Amino acid sequence: MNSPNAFDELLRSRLSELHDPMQEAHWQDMRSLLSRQRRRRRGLVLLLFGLFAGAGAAYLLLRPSGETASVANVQEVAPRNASPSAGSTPTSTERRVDVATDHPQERTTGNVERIDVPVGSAGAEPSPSPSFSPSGGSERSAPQAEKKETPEPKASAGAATRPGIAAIVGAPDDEVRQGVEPVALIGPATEPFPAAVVERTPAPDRIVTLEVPADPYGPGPGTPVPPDPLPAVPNTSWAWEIGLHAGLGRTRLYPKDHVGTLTHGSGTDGMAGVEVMRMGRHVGFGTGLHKACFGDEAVAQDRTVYGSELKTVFFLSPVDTIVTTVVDTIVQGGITYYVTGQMDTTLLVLDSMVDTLTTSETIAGFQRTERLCVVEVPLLVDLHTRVGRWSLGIRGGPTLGMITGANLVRTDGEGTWEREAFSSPTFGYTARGYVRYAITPQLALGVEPALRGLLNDPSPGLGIRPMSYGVVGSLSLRLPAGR
Amino acid sequence: MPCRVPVILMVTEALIQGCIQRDERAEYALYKALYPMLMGICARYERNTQDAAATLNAGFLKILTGLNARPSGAPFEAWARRIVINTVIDRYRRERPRREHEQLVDDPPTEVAVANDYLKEVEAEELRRVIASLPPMSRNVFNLFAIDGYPHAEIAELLQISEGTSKWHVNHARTLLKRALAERGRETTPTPKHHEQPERVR
Repeated sequence: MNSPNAFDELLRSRLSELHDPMQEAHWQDMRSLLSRQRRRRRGLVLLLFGLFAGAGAAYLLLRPSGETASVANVQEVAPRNASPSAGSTPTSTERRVDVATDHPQERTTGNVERIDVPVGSAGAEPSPSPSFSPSGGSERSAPQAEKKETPEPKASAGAATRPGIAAIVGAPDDEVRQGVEPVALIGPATEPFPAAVVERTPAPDRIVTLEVPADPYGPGPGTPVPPDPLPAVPNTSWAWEIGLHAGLGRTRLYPKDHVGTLTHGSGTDGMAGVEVMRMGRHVGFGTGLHKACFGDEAVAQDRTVYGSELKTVFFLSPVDTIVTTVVDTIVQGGITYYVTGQMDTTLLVLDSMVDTLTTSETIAGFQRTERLCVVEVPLLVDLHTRVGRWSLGIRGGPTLGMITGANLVRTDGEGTWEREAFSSPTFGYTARGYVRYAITPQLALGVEPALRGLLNDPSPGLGIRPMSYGVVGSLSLRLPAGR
Repeated sequence: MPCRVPVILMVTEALIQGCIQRDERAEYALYKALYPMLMGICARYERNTQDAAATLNAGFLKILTGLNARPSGAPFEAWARRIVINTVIDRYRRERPRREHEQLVDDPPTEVAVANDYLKEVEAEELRRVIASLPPMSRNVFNLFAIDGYPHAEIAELLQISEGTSKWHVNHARTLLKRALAERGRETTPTPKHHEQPERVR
């Protein structure tokens, strides 16, 4: 201990004798405090988990079907005898047509048909047929594009002569994968569909794999029209996006486990912002300017404040005593004798003492709305995916800001209240999930659940921890890539 | 009503582990074991039982959430005391007025002998009430220094005052306590008969 003071030592030893037995009511308060805190934590974890799970599930369910379609549309075609040496190349009697339906912008080769056809036989020229030559590749035209619908045995050669045909000449698949050497590019550079690679291996058994561009002139009559898979906005390269959002949320200023004289509820308040993002195919970065307000209902119950003071009071104190009085006089021999008698009596003596005067004062309760507004600059990371005109993503990050308006109630611990205005820097977070629909290739409307809050206590010791959750509507404008 | 029973903490490592795993029975047992000590602290700093219980619960919540992070090797009781005292001081700092109009003046001398005599006889609960009647800042500083053993430098840092002010508050609180105890001691002394102790007759 610090002080060898005898008074302190004595005081300490006397106080150590105290033992307060536990009161069940206090434990019940503690239990409710614990359960509130755990509910809050569970809710936060569930919210984050839900956001991530939702985004992941949506990505899996709604992602572009290109990868799966190229497998699903494989058609096994009956063995054919198109090649004069079919018997010598048993594997080449199968013809596969893979139709890739991925986004054209995302593929360097465009929509293609992949056709594996037998090439040559014994003695046949191992080089690609003339139609595979760089020059010949552009002469033939589209009819072969319908091969996937009605596979015909002699599709191969014709297909290889179409403009923009991608053809691989070589060994069976495993050999093709391992050691092919690029031979030439097919197709004029001015074609709307990029040229493909012609590859060749010297292996005797070769399969020609033709990657046939999709029909640039659209499906023929009677061909079922697939749903429009085209994204409404460019999706391949980085582009700038400007967005506005505004909405309402349930807000709270104080943490739920806040212990204080005031009872705090939640309120409803607004949030809005403008953001500039650099958006890639699935990831984006950016910043912006947010304005948000946090409201709270502060309720104070009627409160009785007790005080005590020492006061000197004067009073008449009765004192029992014996009074001796002369009751008679006797003169004997010239000498006067006094006869006395004793009498019990009570005297009132003026006394004083110091009294402890206990006073009580009742302070009326109230219910007021407290409000705190901040302007923040967020540092945002965006993860998103896009299916056609729909896009789905999450966006969030830390924020730095400044309080622009605060009107809170401070209690002095003695039962009185005062309004307090202050301004100070804030450090917080913001997170939103979003579903957007592109009404034009550049413009999208969205609905976004939002969560935001402050991580520091910006007030001078009030212990606030503002947070809000709600829904905002958004409008985003994506500028064309390259700007 | 408080009673005089020695405080025995029955906090075992198994109990702490149970609390870490959020076993409600373990939490209840820990609360019950710590309650006398923690309530003793809170009641010294707060003016009424309701505030003391609220502060105790806030402190116990911090103890529960900080069990994993408690320093290894430190006595559990001392750690828990420290957390609750910090909770009390945090709460006081939040709620105290920004400007305290407390004038630092010298206190008149007190009848030390009478105060000490009464201190030996007074009920501990009455003593707690006397401490609770001190001004808030003096009460807190005195509790921190004289009862809980904090040095002036740490008190000054905790309460954002100077060390000199902290020392003044200790002296001030001590003087007020002695005065109050002396007065109470005189009150409880039986009024003498006039003929027995004529010197007391005024």
